[in-house]
Amino acid sequence: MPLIPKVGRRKFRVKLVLLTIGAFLWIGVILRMIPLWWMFITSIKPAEEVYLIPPTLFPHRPTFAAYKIIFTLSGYISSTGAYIAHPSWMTYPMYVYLKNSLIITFGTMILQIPITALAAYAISKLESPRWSRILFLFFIGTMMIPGQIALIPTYLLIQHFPFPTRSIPYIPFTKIKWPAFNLFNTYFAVIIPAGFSAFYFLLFKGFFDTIPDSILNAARIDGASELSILRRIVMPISKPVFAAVSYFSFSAAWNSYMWPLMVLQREKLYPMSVQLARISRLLSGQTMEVRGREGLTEDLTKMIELGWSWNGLMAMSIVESIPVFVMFIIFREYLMTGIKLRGFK
Amino acid sequence: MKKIAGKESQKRKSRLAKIFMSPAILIQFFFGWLPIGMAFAVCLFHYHILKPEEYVGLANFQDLFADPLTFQVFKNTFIYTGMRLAIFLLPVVVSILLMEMNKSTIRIMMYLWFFPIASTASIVIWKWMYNTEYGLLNSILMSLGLPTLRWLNDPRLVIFCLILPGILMYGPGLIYLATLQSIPDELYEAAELEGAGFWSKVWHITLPRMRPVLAMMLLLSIIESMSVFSQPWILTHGGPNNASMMVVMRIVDLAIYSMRYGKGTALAIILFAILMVIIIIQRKYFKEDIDR
Amino acid sequence: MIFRGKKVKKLISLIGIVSLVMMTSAMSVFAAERIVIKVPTWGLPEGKDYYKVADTLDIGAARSLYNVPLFQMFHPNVKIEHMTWDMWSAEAGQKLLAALAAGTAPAFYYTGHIGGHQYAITEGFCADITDYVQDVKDKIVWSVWQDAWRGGRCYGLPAAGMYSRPLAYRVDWFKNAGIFNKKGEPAPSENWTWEDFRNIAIKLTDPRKKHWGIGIAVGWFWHEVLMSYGVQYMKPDPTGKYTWQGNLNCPESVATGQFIHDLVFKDKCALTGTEFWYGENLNAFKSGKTGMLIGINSTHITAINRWKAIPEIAEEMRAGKSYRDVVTKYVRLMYPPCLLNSGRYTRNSTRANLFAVNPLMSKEQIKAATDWILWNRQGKGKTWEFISRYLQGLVPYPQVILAYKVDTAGLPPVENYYPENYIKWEGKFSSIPRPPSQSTFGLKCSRENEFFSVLDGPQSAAISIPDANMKKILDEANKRVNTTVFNYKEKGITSENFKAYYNALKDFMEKNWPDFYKNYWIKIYERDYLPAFK
Repeated sequence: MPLIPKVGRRKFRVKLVLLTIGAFLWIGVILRMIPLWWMFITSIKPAEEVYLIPPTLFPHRPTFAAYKIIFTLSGYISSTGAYIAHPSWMTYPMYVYLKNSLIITFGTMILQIPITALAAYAISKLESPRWSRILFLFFIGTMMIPGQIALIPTYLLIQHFPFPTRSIPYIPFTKIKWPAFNLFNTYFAVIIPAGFSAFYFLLFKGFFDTIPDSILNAARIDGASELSILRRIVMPISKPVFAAVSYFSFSAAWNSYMWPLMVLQREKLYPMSVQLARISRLLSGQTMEVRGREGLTEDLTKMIELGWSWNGLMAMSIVESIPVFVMFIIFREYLMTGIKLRGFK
Repeated sequence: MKKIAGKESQKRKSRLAKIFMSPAILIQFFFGWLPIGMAFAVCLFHYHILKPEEYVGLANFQDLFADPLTFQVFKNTFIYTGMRLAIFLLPVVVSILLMEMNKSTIRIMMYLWFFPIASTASIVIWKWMYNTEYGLLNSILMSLGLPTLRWLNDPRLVIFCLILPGILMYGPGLIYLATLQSIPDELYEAAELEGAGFWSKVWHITLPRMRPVLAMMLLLSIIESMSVFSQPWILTHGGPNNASMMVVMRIVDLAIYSMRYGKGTALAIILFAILMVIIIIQRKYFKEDIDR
Repeated sequence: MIFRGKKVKKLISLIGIVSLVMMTSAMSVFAAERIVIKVPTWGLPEGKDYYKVADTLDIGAARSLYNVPLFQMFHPNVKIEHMTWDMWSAEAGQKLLAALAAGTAPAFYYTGHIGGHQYAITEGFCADITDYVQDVKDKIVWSVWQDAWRGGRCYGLPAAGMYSRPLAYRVDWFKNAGIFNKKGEPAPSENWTWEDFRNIAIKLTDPRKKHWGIGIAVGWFWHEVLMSYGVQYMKPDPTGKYTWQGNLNCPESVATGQFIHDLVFKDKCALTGTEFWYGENLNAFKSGKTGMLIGINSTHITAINRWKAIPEIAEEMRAGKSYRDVVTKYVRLMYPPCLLNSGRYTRNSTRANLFAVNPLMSKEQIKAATDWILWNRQGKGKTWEFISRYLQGLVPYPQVILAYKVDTAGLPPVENYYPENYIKWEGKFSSIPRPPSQSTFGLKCSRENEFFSVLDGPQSAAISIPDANMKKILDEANKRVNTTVFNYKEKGITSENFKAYYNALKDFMEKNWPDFYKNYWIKIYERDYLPAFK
């Protein structure tokens, strides 16, 4: 509800204040739009125009060539007539990476949300106070520790689950190795470790805590089983928090970069974010050359000769951002109708 | 009799709770605590990939404390965190001010202010904006007749440049808007009757009501900005003379690129200790619940 | 009824687990029939797409496809499996290390981004293949192969060709600026120095047209300048307490930093920046913003085929799509070439990327992998490529100058089907003098990577801080190196190793550049190296 009362809005001074607020907000919007405009404009420039000084704010010859390249390219005819089918910076057209991103994102959501919600519900409503306090710390404790330090052990864990060691240990007194699963180079390697999230656990718990126990107890006295309580009573009330977590979960999984990069080694499995960062680093040469290490510069040369530079990168950025934006619109109503955040209690 | 029945039902509930929690417990144990525990054990060793590790005691920590860069990366990270906290207030202010607009304006502006961009994409965009030769920022300065800046190349400016990509990414603005809308109108009406002005309404009603959300977001923002990685990694790779080197980047650099895994983990543990202290302080002085 | 009761349930689950374990182990026994090695392919698509490529008669892809059955015919107990492996992305090293730790690395790999070949040998990332390379010992160019040897054992093979790094410049800019050599060609003079270089860069710079003399990316340029002073980044610890010491604050190093700093801030003739890495440097050159280009990783595959030029002999080079008419040329940089510890940077001398064979494999697999590498570069596989090329007349296929002497017995003379340039430059490249490698004298440094991360600081300071005091910055960096990085003793290195290596280096210098040696280098030798083994 507006804080400035409706009644006084006709006064000149109040009008001026409102006008100032409006101006501030609109200027902010414009400032925020400039980078996005620049991104769009760069993406529809031809390759030569990208490097013009001063840069053109409206392209002289708008073209969708950059989009065409990223969606069709998986090979080209070289000057000698040979078919160079595999620029190793982008072996597959863009939709392959888009598809991977979608699989990983929705896989993560499908696994993560029920598991986290169930755990939060159990802690909030079912568990005895003593256990729930201990398990609560167990669940959220990992939030404070930067995940990068566990990078290598988790990597080893993925290779032969459940052993975070260099190799699979032997069963004591025998020469037989323990059974182990190799999740490496599968989507599961990204999806399963994300199966539980401390932050969403907090969101869920904060919401479930606000549901009064009396409702649940009344249902219990009527003879409802715990599962039907969960389904009939808790779920319908908690729609907003599920929506909020779905949205957060979506954008986190969509933006995840470091971990997919580590465990998906086949380019066929790369998600968008990895591919975008990879090409951005290749373009600015921030690859092995950082330390003067030797890098294959053939790829770069090929890329530039194709007329690909920042325009292609910006086109990829736009393509990567579209699903995030679509999800934003879908979930906005739910997000607005109720996020109740509670902290650590 | 009733008491015993309550105990019985609590026992049954607990058993059900264990079943509900079991997948989460399994995942949290195997992918949460197990790798972290293993990483923490490593900080006392020289860890080699293929050769057996050597026990070195606290030598990794000694090396870190002898290195001025360690203090510099912490300084950088604190500066970055401070700026993030300054920006932290921006969406709050914007959402409070947005409420003054009429309904249709709110709808449009909500989209324009808070719609998100994929994070890699927003970093890449800013990298292109900052480009000293072809970038937009410098060409604007040039067309206004101002001297151009060297953005990411200026050791004093670079750390401020790292902030901006975060604005394009998902801001928590929607959460604030939702919280603001959930404040009951009666409170304001009552205050109005008592003659409260704009500021006193904000100070006495809005902010206290937003307090749980603000506390939570503040904590998350601190944790997130203390362990910032992808912005400096993609934008500057540590920047001129380590001016934009952050703690986590240094950890990755040590553990993975310099292959001093034990030393990197030791730095991570120092970061962990500092984060813990910050969190304890924050929890002590910024209580969450107003109703208590 | 039987399945009631907790004990029975437990028993059944126990039996289940045991049988599962037995089955897995039994399967692994039956699986080992042929020796399987996983060969990395990079840049080639997987599965069906792979055949699609081969069908288009891309000779590289086709060859690598049909090569496999041929190889297996000659080695019936070996099975080659292709494995897509990312060799060159920014994270390739990180991935390889993790894969090594987990035992899923391919049969062989480059060592460039896991810390260089020396580091890889020290850490045990390279299998000992001495026994399997005895036959080809005299068929590999020693000057590029020597880095793979340590203490008489061999730990690697050259990946493909030989490399060197020249300077590229734009002929039209040179003409306009009036820079001619003695013959009257628009080129720098034959024996040019860094001062000449600076003057040329200043002449090429034109702020109004946004023209710059040179683009400087972090890292590369520094190495170039420092090498030509004849110093190394690290020196043996004269006190004998530790093994190595940083040599970052020696006068030559300070002069290097000052030189770069002056180019950027005093003479204002250099385009540079933090985000200005290699790619932007190349872009700037190709889009007509800089007149000279150093540090381009000019492999000879690029040199000969793509850019139609070869170092030391200027030929035409095409720069980019829209700049077809611009003529650029290559020249060599200043002498003398010197080596960094690991031999990663050799200016004006040849080097090659090295393959390491995965040490986690069995002996047979290691032998098979070595055979496969040699087959494709020196042995029958290469011979067949020659034959098919001869038959098809597909001569102008991109070809690096190999570090191998290919087995062409029974074939018509190579001249018939190979580009003229190849023959010409093969001889020339093989004969470029190359300093002795530290590795062959048993020297190593297992914290080299961390050392180089320290070096990043001064390097970026020189190009980004206008009032930088290079002496102070380098002093601090060197102190950091000595107190936090090199504070350990490397096992198995004595002053005898140092003595042998530095004396060999001395002999090399004396033989190849006697003037430089007498007037200059001997002083460095006495200052930096001699105290450690006198």
